[in-house]
Amino acid sequence: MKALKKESRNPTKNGTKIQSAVDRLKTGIEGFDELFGGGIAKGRGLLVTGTAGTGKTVLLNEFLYRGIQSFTQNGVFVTFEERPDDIIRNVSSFGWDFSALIEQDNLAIVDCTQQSVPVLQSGEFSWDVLISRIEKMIKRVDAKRVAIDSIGTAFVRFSQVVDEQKVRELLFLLMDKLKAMNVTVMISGEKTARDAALSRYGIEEFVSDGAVTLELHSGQNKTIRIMSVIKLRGLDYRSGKVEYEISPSGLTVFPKIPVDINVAETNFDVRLKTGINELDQALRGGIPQGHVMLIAGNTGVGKTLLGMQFIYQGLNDGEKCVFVALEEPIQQILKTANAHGWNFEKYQKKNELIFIREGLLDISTDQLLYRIVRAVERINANHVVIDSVSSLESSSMDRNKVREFLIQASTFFKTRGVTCYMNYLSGDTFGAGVGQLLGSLTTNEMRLSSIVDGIILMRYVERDESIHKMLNIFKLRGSDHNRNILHYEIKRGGIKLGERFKAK
Amino acid sequence: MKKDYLFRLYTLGKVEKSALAVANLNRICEKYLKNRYQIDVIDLENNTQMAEDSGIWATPMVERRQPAPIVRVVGDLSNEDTVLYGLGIKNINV
Repeated sequence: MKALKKESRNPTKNGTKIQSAVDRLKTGIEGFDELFGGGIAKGRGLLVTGTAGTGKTVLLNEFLYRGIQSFTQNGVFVTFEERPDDIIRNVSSFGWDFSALIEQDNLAIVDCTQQSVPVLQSGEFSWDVLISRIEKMIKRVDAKRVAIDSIGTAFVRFSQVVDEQKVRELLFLLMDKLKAMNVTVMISGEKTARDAALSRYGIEEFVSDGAVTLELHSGQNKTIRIMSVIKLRGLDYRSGKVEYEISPSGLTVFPKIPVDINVAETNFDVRLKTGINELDQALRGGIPQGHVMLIAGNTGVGKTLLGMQFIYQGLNDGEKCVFVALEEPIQQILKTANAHGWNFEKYQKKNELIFIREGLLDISTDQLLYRIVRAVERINANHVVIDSVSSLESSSMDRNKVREFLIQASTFFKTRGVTCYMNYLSGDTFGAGVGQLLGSLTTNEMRLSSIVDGIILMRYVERDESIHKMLNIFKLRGSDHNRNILHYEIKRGGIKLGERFKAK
Repeated sequence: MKKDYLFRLYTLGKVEKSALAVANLNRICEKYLKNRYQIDVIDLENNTQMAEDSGIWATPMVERRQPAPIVRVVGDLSNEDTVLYGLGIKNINV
């Protein structure tokens, strides 16, 4: 089993391998490099566009800061926008001490804000002095990274004095010079909300080899930040939109996990125990390794418990587990576990079990997926329970995003041979009568059916003037299984499977 | 002797544009401000710190340092009207 997992964890699993003469530069900004498939193009220009407030300047500042801190690559900030003092003050809120970095000659700011001195133009002039100021700064600190903020403000500042064509010339000259010096450049450009075009000044696309766009969208309770790579000359990158956030420690991008078509096949010979002997028997030995199971049932029917039992069994077998708790607080889960005699804290302390808890208001599926992936990779987990997918659906209010999340999550699990329970609250009727168990299968479960490898239905059934709990293995891809409807009860120690439910 | 007008002309290297700006500024000053001006030509090529401190972003550029406030005209100063207006010379002499 161990050997097989290793094989499926081979990092070069991406089907498309692009050969390229362009080297990559790791920015060090969390998640950002993954978005570009490992880093941005080294020695080239990356255009960062977005409307006001999207965090372009933060991205540029962090690009320089991470370069100095993580890679000992010094930086130069060319500002047409904010005065150096303002820049230093603004980044201090992220804990980045630009004054100290300037003091130590790791960083230099070239002030091109040209102050408030009135200027007129009379005849021909040259930009050489500005270019040479920037060049000298780069040489002085031996910079490998340059940030320019921004194309729009360069135009606003200078076009009052000189015509736009002359400003274009400046930016072309500057980018040419920087390219010749082999520094990697991030340059920001404004975008008006309505204006979809990348090019506002007819220059943006020419001064850069790649472009990334930042957007703001209003969610129900908070603003959602979206980033997407528009183009990247000569390098492979991930298309599509990803979410990012600006936290007190800087920018974090939540790149999507690439959907890999060359998925490791499920090994039907390796079965994972569910923690319930009778259920293992009904599954002909347990859950096939790498299967994604949908556990569907109404509230209180024991879905969370089934997941906890699966995890506890895994932990006892020496496996690593991740429990994604979207329904209830972790403390409550631990309490329930203790009531059944399962000591989860012990495994948590040993770093063999990670709980992921996410608030449900405006939950970001990209962020959640990113956290799950990080947790699974960190401890090499092979048991995951997501409790529950339906709460994700109702809180994000976007079924397509949730579906996308499920596809990406299950693909990721499969490439690593992770076995997963996804709990799903299905709103079937409380009093479903005899023979109605399958009839209550909701369209949602059917919709998710293609994503998952197995479905276990848990249902209440009203019979003999009392409520019974019934369970059915509705689907188990590639494996024989017990097709009967089975009684079960919840007792101390977890779910106990009973005998077959017989129609009268 | 203290002059009414103090100009600083920033250039970068011995290029044609610089020479043209020096000549143009001298001619204009002789014509309108005879005996009342002083011009300091500063080549920024050997004076990086000055370029940084003064925030000069293009050359040639002339700066009126006296009388206050500081005003600037960028270019080879071939357009006399703009120079007179931009440096506040003509307004005073009209």
